[in-house]
Amino acid sequence: MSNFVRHPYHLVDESPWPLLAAAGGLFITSGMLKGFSEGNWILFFLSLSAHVFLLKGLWWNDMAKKGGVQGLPTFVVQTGLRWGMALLIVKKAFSFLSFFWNFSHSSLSPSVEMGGSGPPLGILVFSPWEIPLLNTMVLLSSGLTVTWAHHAVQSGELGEALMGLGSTLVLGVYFTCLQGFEYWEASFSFADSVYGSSFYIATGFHGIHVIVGSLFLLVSFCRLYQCSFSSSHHVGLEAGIWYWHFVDVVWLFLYLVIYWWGNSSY
Amino acid sequence: MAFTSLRSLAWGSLHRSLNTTAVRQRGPGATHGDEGWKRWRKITLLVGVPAIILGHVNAFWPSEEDKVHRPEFVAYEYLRIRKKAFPWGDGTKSLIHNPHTNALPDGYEDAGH
Repeated sequence: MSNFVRHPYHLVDESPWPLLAAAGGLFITSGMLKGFSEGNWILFFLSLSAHVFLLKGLWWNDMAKKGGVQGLPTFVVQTGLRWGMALLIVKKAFSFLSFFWNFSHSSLSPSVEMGGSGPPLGILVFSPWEIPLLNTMVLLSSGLTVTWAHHAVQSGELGEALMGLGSTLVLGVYFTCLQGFEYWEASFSFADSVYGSSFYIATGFHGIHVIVGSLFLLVSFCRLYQCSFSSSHHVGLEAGIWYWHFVDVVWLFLYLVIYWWGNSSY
Repeated sequence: MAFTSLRSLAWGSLHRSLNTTAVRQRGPGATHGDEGWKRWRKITLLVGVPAIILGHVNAFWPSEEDKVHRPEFVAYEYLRIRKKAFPWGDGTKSLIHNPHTNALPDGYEDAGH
């Protein structure tokens, strides 16, 4: 058998993760159905934690080994990974588009029963100039620190890269805490008219993405610490940075549309 | 023909832009001597940190308006919607329930205070 390879790809080993991931997806949705219909959420939480922590952790670990230790993904394969990430972000952008559409629709044509105003009568909205503005500062600054980390990785400055990425993580967690505080202080819940529902689905979906983005960067931080990235080969980190910038941009739109524009009465 | 070349041009530029980072890394002098991180660290320290500090001062400076935490209770039918019990607790409270600011369908829990 010849060792000569006539194509720019590396062939992956047989792996149990795709099949297990599909089964995990099935159990998570079944668990949700059971939870919503019977109020029993055990299957949902079991399968979700198994899926996320065990399976995704192991799969990611395999990917990291292929990328970092074995250096397998070639330039062509890296391009494929980048396409995958770009398409994922496009998909998410359209999810957010639907939430913005929903919010704008109910704000621009408020029903008469709700006082004909958006936000509806009886809803005390957040001031956009307090914690939401601070959150904007926090998230925009995290965009600066992540760029600092990215340039440092490209220059091979490990210490600076860890510092930049660490600051980004701290800011990301702080953002989540501030959002949690806002949710606690809120005078309306998701059961309070279409305003409450659309507010919480949009900001909550974004919040979940901030948490996922933070986990993504945390994994990159650990890989960076273990020297699993090189200055010219760090697709995992780049994907995390793209994701983080995406979350950042979505927040700007949330701030402008929901907190600022959506809070003025019509 | 013209359409094909236009399409390949657009496709090529999209492809390139997706790979800009990789191309930049391979460019001359990219691995050493690229001091971009210094610039971004400076921007973080000179712009980001002051902005976050000012944001805190602005958000947490005590003001008169802060005392108004909740709207007066009116039993509007589109608020406090309970079509079926929530799947947590006793099923009457929303997920993040603050007894001071979130009213139940029949009023605030601490309305007497």
